Amino acid sequence: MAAMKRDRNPLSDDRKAYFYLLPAFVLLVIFTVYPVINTIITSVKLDYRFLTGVYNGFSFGHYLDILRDKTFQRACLNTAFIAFICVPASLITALVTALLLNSIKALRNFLTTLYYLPQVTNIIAAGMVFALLFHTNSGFINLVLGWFGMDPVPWISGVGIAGSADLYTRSYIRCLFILFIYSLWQGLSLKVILFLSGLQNINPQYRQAAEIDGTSQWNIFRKITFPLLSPVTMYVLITSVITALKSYASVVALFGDSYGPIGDNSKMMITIVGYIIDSLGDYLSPGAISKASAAAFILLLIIVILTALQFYFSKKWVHYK
Amino acid sequence: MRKTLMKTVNYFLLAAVAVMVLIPFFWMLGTALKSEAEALHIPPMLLPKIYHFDNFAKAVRAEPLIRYFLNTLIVSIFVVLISTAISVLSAYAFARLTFRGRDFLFAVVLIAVMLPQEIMIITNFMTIAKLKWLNTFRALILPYCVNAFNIFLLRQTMKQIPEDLYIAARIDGLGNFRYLWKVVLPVAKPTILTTMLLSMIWIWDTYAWPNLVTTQDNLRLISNGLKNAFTTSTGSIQYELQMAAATLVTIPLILIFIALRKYIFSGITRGGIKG
Amino acid sequence: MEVRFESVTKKFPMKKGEITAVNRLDLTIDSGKLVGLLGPSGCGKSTCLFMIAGVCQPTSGKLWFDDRDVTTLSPEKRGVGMVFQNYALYPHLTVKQNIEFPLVNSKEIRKQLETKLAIHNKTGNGKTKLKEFVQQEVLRTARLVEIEDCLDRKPFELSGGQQQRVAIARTIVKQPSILLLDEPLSNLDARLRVQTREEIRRIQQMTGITTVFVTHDQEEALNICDEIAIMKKGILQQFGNPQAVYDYPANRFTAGFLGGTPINMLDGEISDGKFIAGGQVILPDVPIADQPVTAGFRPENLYVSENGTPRFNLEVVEMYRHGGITVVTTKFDADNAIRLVKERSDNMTIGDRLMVTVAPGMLYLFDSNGAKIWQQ
Repeated sequence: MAAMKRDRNPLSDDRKAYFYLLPAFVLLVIFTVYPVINTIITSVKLDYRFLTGVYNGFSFGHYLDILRDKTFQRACLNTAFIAFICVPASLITALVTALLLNSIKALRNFLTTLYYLPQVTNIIAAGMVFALLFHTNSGFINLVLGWFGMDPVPWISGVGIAGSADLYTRSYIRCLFILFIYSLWQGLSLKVILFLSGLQNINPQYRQAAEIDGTSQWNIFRKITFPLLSPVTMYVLITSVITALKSYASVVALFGDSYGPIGDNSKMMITIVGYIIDSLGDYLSPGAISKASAAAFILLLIIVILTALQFYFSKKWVHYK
Repeated sequence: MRKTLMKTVNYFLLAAVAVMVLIPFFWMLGTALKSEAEALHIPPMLLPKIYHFDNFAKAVRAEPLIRYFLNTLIVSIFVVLISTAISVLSAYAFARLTFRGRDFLFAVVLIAVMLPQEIMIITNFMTIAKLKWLNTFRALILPYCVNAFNIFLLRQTMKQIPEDLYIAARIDGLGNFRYLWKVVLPVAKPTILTTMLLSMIWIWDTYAWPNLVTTQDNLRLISNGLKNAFTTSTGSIQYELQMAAATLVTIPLILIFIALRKYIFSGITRGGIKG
Repeated sequence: MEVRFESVTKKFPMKKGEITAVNRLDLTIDSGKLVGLLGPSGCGKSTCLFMIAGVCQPTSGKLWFDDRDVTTLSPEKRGVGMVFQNYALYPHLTVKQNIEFPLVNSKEIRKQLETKLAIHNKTGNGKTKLKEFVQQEVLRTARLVEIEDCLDRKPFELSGGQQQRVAIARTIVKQPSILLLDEPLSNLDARLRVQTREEIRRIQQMTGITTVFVTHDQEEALNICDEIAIMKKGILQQFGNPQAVYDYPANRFTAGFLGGTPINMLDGEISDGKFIAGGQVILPDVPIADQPVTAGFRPENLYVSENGTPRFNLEVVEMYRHGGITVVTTKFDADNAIRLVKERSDNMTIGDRLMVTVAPGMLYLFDSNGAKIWQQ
């Protein structure tokens, strides 16, 4: 009804609106819309040199090249580890923490604030601190292990891994473990806040009604809280997976510019974004930018599919509101 | 009885999580206060014997941290001011004005919210390189000046301002811009503050882009500067200074966060889940 | 200032086609009058108000303020004031800042104010500054609506009635030539509504501003308006003095729309100059052609009488006290009930049979299209 009362004239004005939108859209077109389109086109340009703009026709070869590239496969594996192992783990931890937080009153605000600290910590600083925590000689983790009479573990060590597949695998597993712990610590913050706000949006009357009926706490969670929280859970899961798929700075901070312990030359811990940026760093050689673009487009595709899934699920669960 | 027990377990678990969260901060600060010998001591020492507060001064002297701070400050001030102005204007147009193509243009904004920055980096790098803007502040500032998420968040807030207020203001003799300035801005102030804070945190954390477009020390932002600092040519790291620097980088944002917590929380919780 | 609609039509484009909110409206609102626009929701009354305000423009036709064509004039140049159902107070400003808002923010009003101040200073030999003058105006208006005690409070600290007074003050402080009120009482509770409506009447009479009052509540309109215009689906049904519209409805719709207790409607037919309903001759002598008709007569115009025309033979089936009056429901025949409104009901019980007649001149006959064809 309210919308009906108004119409084009004279309170609204196309020209005025476009004037208001102009600065935002100029920048959006230059730095967002054009780049996406251009990336897709660049990914199929053969032998493209961007300084001169010269290329030799179009080809999907770059896609095959990077899919066959061992480093890209490694990048996919590592990225998948963060997205599909680390994220679910931190999601469950965050959900439990939020449930615990929601059931207390005293200290709740204090603890929420405290849990959020990793999120406002500079990502490079955090990575450096974790690298030090796991340092063989100066790290806190080995100090604690020492209290229990254990020998120091060479957490980030590349000694001898170039020659031995066995040593390489062990070193890799240790690095994955560090990444796991880091992701847990870093990912908890945002998820706890989102879950807590989701829990607080649930009408307490549902719970009270169930309690009066004598429902056990576990059944209340299983039958009431969790289903009502499911849109939030789905949102948190998918956005966290998308964020994880874009991991880069944290890995560089943890393992250095070579994405691995000293002595490793396989870019052990590289991620997809790391792969893109490394290819881009090589921009003077022909085809490097196209390779980066192809990797970027694959990443975009995965993210678009996940976003579509999120839309699908949020529509499906809308009746819980 | 059972209730008290459950409560105790509850608090115990929460305290355990809190300790986990705090360990890295504890180790960072602890190492930052150690002497060089203590930092390299085997086995590592839990706490230094004497607190070397002068490590902070040493760290600042050893590397151009102040420069990095200032650079980050300059970039974030420009980004926050420009992107807020741009976002407010376009959010207002989407929330209040009727014009042809509104739904389409808003869909473009929504899609831009979902597109990852990392996809744009390649072409943006080429654009900046072609403009010969590598190693300039422009390259650090401009790509951050439009933030689709902020436009979205502000538009949602402005949509909640009753239409009657707009009609009343128009009848009272205000034009669109004056209405925006006199009524919308004050009413939407909390959300505007939220978007400003989120933009600032974003700049403070940004690493990949500045690393690509700047190669000179005098243009580095704090994350990039910190990443490369305190590593000697042989690859060994002066941990006590590195941690002192990490502490210095971490503290300002934590202070801002603690002071303006509610704006940040409201921004992140309203971003995705409405209601 | 006189407001004149000249064959004004307003259409809104919809997803499919369009809807006509106001259809060829001709209406003249005399200067200084308090006029009510009345009708069910969706009848186009609010659209009329918005067209006067300049918030939307007519699709065709012209709108005049006195001799000035304002059809396409933008709202800020019209000098109208508007009060909203939801008050539309600026939430971040105090009451005082809200009232002075139009004075300090509109260029046009500022100019007017400066001229007025110059005259004021000249005649009074004073040296009032513009700022002080604005404060004086704010205070004067606040006193007029009796909210001078809460000038420093924010809107959310006020009751609904107080907020509405602030809204009125903000509107009249700029001395508009026309005051528009869009359902101003709907959000108030019953007692406050009566009080505020008297207040609006008082302020309107003191200031003499031409006022247009939109409401769906007929009682409000009947009580305070000099004239009322009743609309339905974008078409003006009737315009005139409230009592005249009440007693002489132009058609079945206006007859039914007005009245605290709904008007009685009795279907029947004209045959040989007689009005027959339920197999009885109700009126023996009606000078109209044979056709199906509906008789309308208001409950309060019925009274018990052994000999009158028309004459109804009724059986009391229900009675209830409704404030100071009693509504008596009676059975006319198997299909039709007739209600009477009486001040007292002492001498009636359920099951009584009554002979009832209609006050002279207060029975209307409507044809099958709803037009009034005869009034006794």
